[in-house]
Amino acid sequence: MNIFTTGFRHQPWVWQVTGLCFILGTLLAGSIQTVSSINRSGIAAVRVGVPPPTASQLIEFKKLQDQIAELTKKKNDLLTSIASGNNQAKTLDEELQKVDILAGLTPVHGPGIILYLQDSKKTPPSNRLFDADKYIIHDVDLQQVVNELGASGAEAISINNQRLIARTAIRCVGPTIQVNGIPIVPPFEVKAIGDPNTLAGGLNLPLGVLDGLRRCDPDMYKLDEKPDILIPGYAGNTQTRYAKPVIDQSTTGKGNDNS
Amino acid sequence: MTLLPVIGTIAGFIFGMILFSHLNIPWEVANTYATYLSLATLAGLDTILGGIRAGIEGRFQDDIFVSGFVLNTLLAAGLAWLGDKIGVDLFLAAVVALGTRVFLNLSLIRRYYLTKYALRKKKDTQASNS
Repeated sequence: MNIFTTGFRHQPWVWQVTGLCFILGTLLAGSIQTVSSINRSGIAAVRVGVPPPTASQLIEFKKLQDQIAELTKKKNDLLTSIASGNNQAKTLDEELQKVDILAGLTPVHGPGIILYLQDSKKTPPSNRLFDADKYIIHDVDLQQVVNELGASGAEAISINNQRLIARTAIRCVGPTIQVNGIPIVPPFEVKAIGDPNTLAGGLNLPLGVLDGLRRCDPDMYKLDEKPDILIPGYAGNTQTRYAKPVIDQSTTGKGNDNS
Repeated sequence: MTLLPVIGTIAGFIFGMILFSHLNIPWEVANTYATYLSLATLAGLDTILGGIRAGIEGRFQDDIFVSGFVLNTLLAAGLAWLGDKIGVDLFLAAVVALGTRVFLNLSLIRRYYLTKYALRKKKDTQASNS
């Protein structure tokens, strides 16, 4: 059979090729749409960095938050029921409350100060790191503020509603500052409960934390003394894996290098 | 009839444009499968040109045609996936192999039409001469 004499028309294969051509067209359109959507989001990709949480993750997150709220409520209910019991239980409950406040596990309120910190809106005198660095709030600034508040007798401190506890770390991670492992960004809101005058005085010490900021740009901070502020409790992980309580005092130092 | 594949492609293209614009796929997802989709498109193009060539040569078999399309697509996507895993752009192998075949098939189809055109011209001149 000479292939050049047979016609193209009315061949059954033309229909099959047409069918597959339809699929090819769909794939082609899909490719074009996909690539163009990637190109469109090219600028956004830099700002996003990490993909936003998926819908299922958000639902899971909400569920876990609800669970925390529910368990906290249950715990408080149990504590109130203990407190309404006999005298011994009442004493125990009071002791527990004290420990909770010290550990930062319960929300507390009282007189204190609120310190707002934000990056300066001024243009630094030069683009050199040495100059530009001063116009930004760093993790070190927060650490100094917290240290100063502690020295001035603050009884509870929170940064952007993250309660500071004994295990809290304040560290710089990329463009954010992590407190309790939660990334926070400016403006920062440092709340502290204690004697407002003493706290403000400590922060305003000559050559102190705020003095350095004031020399740079007074708008970088705002200090308010308040008669009553609310500081939330610590909501993170409270489990200990390594530290064990010492039951018997006589065994202290056993296995220690000093013995 | 000759235009049918072309019409099919255009219809599919319009269908795909509407479909994919309605799906509204987030870019993070799109980023991961863009390579696979492009390779699938190339494999489809290769199969269709191969099919047309086989049809012209009169040895078209539908099972070979369809299985070729499916397997080529899967192999190309598989190579791209493997390349991602081992850090070598293996999908280039698929692109080169499929691309070569596309050009080969296209040249054979072109040759067929040119020869047919030349034969008809010759017949016409013979008819007018006699």
